[in-house]
Amino acid sequence: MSKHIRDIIDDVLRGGFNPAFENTVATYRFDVDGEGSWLIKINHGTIFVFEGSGEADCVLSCGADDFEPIITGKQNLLTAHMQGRLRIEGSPVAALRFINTINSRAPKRAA
Amino acid sequence: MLGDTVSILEGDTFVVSNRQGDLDGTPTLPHGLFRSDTRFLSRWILTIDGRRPNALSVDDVHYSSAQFFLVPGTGTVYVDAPLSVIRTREIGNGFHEEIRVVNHSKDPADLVLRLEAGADFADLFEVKDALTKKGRQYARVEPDRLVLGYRREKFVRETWIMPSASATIDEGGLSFAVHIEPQGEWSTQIDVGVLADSWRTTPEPVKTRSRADAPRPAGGTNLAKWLEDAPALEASWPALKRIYLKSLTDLAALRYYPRVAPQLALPAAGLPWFMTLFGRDSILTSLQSLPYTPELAETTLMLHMLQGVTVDDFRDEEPGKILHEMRWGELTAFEERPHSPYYGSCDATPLYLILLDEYERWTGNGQLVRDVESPARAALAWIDQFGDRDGDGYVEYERRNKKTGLENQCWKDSWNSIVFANGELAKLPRATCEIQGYVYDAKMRCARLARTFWNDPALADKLERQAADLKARFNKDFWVEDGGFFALALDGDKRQVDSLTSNIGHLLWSGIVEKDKAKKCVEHLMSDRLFSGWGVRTMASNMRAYNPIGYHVGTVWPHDNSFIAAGLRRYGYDAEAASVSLGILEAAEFFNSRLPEAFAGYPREMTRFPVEYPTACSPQAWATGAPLLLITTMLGIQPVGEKLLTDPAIPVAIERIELLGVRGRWGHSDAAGRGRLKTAMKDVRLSAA
Repeated sequence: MSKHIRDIIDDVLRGGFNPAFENTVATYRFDVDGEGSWLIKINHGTIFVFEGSGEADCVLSCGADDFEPIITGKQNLLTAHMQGRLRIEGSPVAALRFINTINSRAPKRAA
Repeated sequence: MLGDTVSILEGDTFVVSNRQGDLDGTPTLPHGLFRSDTRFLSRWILTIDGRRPNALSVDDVHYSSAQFFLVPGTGTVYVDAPLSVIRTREIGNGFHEEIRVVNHSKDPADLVLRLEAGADFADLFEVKDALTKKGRQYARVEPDRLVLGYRREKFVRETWIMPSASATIDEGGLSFAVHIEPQGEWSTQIDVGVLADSWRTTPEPVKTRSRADAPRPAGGTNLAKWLEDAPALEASWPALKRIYLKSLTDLAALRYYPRVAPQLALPAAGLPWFMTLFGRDSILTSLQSLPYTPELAETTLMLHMLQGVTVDDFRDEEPGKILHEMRWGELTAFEERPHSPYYGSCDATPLYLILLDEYERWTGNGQLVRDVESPARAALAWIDQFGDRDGDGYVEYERRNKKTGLENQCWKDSWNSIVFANGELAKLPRATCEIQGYVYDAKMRCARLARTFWNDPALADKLERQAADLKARFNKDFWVEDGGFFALALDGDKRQVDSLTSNIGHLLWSGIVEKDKAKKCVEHLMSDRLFSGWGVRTMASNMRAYNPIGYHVGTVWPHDNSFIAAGLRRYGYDAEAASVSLGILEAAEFFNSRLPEAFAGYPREMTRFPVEYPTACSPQAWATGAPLLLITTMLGIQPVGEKLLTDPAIPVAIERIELLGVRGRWGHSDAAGRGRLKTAMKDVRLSAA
């Protein structure tokens, strides 16, 4: 199951670089019940993923069943949070922007 | 309805009670303790020996606390009450209540004091719409406390009621066996805490403003400091100072610390239904209050953090769009309502850009303009790519969410507001005129920002070309030749929706009106058909749909008038601006210095006083901001380069206004002016006290 979580993360991130994060330096941690923890570190667009715990700017905790819909954006992050299916330590806005950005279909640069 | 209630609030936590201090909420009566759009206490009824005491008086001078003075009912005025009951309630992240019973008689008193407690955990939308719950309610008696709860899947909300005095606790409330010696006193303290996050197992300790552990940093909420930081107003008309202070105090009360960014305060839209993030309301209120409380604008500009990123029909979301409304209740959580957040307003996005430029002009904070360059560009892109749905060069709206979305996505958002002169409802999608004005203004202002801060002169040139083109087309396509005014909208068939409305005043504020057409618009605005003597009606009285007590089709809205007055001055119609300003401020005096959201459109000479309209909310943020913008307009203060320019246009009836210590890029400056302008009203008699 652990590998599965990692696969889901890799599928969503689609590579180690996302230009939408070019101004971002932040660490997000997912704590998945019964599965473990994963750190996603972003440094000016470059993304690193590590299994295990550690310091993070924003920690998202959820059950194994909720993880995939939340990280892929199929389940709205804020309503998952409101329903009690997702705990957010840190800024909910930062978490929302992170999830939105990795799943975004919006133009990266506008006007 | 709200006239018989007492409301206290702190951020998004508020209590609405009757004048006894009781909460007697029903699915349709808005009594209760509310937090995060949920009613955590719907019944809270005090009895003494089974009878509800009578109210003598209520002290609610401070918005976060109230005192209720009660006596047990004697049934006759000839018998003095032997007891006094004083309930003191203060709100924070829950509420704290002290109940004191004083025995005035020469005999000991033995009585049973009971607090009946109940919670329906209704979502605010359920309170309004009387819907039934889908989860399970429960009550739990624990040592020294009563816990009321609600669970739906993992969604859990609880209310913890904790008395200091010894009580007999059952699932329906608390009973105290009270013995008081002659001339003696008994009291208890009760904390009512709320568990508003499902993963918590206990509520946060109840914190209130007067306790050392206040819920917010003192600098952020201290009313005295808030008033001290704002400019001081002096005026020969004493009522103006009262209105000004009331506005500032109400704005302080309406500061809302959103859960998504709890360190920031911005103006919520209104108490009790709209204590939440609203794009349009927060932006317009921030514009009105910029010279007085610029920090509200700074926070409101953080709305971009929830800017739309994708196309989502349910939420009416589109990339770059600024949100309309954010909610935290059960219906939003389970996606039975789209407010997480909801994006169904078409004007919030250009208004956001207008606020961004205006904020920099006043404060000189160019760094913020640089920081939000990317969201500002996304907002500009939204205007052209999604706002203009059909590529005709105008921004129009039609909801994506056909079930629970808003049909009208302009400020006049009631279902019947966008109608032809003959009363026929306009077909969707609708391009209302004021939104085109906002877009014009936003593009002109962003051209300045692009040139000055974003190092992008090509974008600046492009925006100016687009704005000039929009202005030229608009003045042709929206101009109702027969009437000599701008149509309310273009409908889905691109027909002019030919109603004469207050919206043309917003066009003056935006600057989109060609000079030769401005004169005719002003004549209409000041005609008997639109100007009631107190203010400009939302719709002219000769329109088929006109109704002086119709929400958006005949009432007078103070915020609407504040922007109209600013528009009149922009085009040099100073006496007309002075008339509108004075009419609204005179009306404020009739409403105890607190302007309502709207009042009836009856002619001044018919009623002699502005007739109250039974609105849902008071105070309402943009009505609270209206006197501030009117004072700005009368003094004619505006930033010019690094200085504050004053160009007064004050009604002769007011005589003199001074505004001392206006904060801005110049540091602090004073502004003053004398009344020299005659107004349209002939019966102006301002109170001397």
